[in-house]
Amino acid sequence: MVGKIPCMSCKEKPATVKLIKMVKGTVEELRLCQECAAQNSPYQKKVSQISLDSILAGLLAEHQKAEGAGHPAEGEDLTCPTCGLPFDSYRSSLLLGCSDCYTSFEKYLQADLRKFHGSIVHRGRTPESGPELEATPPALPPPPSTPAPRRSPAEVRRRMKEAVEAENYELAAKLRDELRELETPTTSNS
Amino acid sequence: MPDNVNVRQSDAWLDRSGPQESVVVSSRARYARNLPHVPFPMRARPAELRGVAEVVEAAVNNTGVFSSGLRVDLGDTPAVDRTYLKENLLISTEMEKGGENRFAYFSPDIRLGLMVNEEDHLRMFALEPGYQPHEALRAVIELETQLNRRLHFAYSPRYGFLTACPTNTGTGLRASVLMHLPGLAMTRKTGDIMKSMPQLGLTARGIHGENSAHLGDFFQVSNEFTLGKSEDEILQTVVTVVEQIIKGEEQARQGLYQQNRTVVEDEVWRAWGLLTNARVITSNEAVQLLSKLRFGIDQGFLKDLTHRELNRLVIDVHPGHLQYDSAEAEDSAVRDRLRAELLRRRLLKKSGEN
Repeated sequence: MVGKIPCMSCKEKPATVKLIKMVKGTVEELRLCQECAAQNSPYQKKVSQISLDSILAGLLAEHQKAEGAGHPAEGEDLTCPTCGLPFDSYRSSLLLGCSDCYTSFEKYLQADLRKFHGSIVHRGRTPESGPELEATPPALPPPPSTPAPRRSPAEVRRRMKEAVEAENYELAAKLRDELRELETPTTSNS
Repeated sequence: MPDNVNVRQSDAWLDRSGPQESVVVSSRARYARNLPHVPFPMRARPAELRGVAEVVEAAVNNTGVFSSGLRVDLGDTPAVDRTYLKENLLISTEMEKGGENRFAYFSPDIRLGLMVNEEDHLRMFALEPGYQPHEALRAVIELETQLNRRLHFAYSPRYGFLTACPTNTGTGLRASVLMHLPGLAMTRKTGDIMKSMPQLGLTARGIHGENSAHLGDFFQVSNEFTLGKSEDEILQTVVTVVEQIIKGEEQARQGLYQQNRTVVEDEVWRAWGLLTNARVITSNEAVQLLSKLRFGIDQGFLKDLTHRELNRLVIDVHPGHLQYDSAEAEDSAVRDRLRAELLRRRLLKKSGEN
């Protein structure tokens, strides 16, 4: 190798990279040092601009689209009647609201259970059902049932759903708390 | 309720030795259970949480399993105590945060434990020192049966026991074995083993469970799936793989000792040198060096130390443990000094080089 060609960009360091660009039909040849080449490369920046999160979110969305069954149809209002958990909330947290959610969301949960476990059929131990259990009353009275003040909770729930759709989770959380307050029966002291 | 809890009692499990303790620290089995129709803890109102706590406590008292053990009201326990329990591997990070209507119960020997109102209404476990996964499963089944005679659990004939997160549905069982794998780490084989875990239906976590690093070459291997298999099948999956890892670790240690005796000896004695001479030491550094000593015992060095004592030291150098002993240790610089003192005191006393 005879003599070092200086970098065409910074004109200081020796050029070690040959970059060939095609600009509007004309071929342009650049001889650059490592650092300038890194800045000049059309690939460099693009790669670093894509965040890992957005890649994962994209993959997840694709995956869910492919699954199909995992998502309720557009406009379908899916909320567990026992605990008031909207299905969307489960989607984002992976936490169900109560044991009845398994019935409320059964159609969609099955796909998840299969995905997580490769099976949807329980083969483990079953509950103890001795005479002692028969004699025991249910652990807790059922939670305060929802039909208290009807009108406004429905409104709050609608707004909460909108907030979730708009991905305004902060507002959604506030509305959820508000909804819980509303649904706490005030006459339960009797 | 007489609730003057001394969390130091919870060290009891670290004082027992178990089989194959040079590779296995402990074996654990846990069940997740919930009460039917009541919102899961993350979604329940305070009154509902209180209701769950009361119903469970009545059942617990009725079984007598935890009587004369520890009862911890996490809403009423200082943060130092909560961290102490967490570092002793007895409560989760979630429970460490505290909170009203959350309780933990432990049997006097800390073989059995129960967390109330964590992610699920009940999380119960059995913990055995060394390699005793079958004993742990048997013990947790016994505990679950006892409680189930007094409590209804949310259950569906099709999906099994119903849990807050569907990744636990079915058996609600997590069987795990906490392993110390310095030989495989030194021969750079842990990476491959950990990569193969998901294909085997298993996961490997660090010493403090989810999201914790594999500090000091401690690995916790457990089942990933809880539905579609019986308890015995789940345990079998874990046991088969764990036994192979134990064998691999033993071979790696032997190979290292035969082929690189000087290097191995040097590593162990350097760790000894640092641990017994340092004046300031972080918990990460201490755990890494103690890991080397733990390995050294197995090779016949450090005759006066036992695996049990080293397990204990690995836990005792954690920040919360130092803070429990001395309020001064709230400052991390002071803590690093106190940690170095503790290590010198404990290690030099044991070796008689005082």
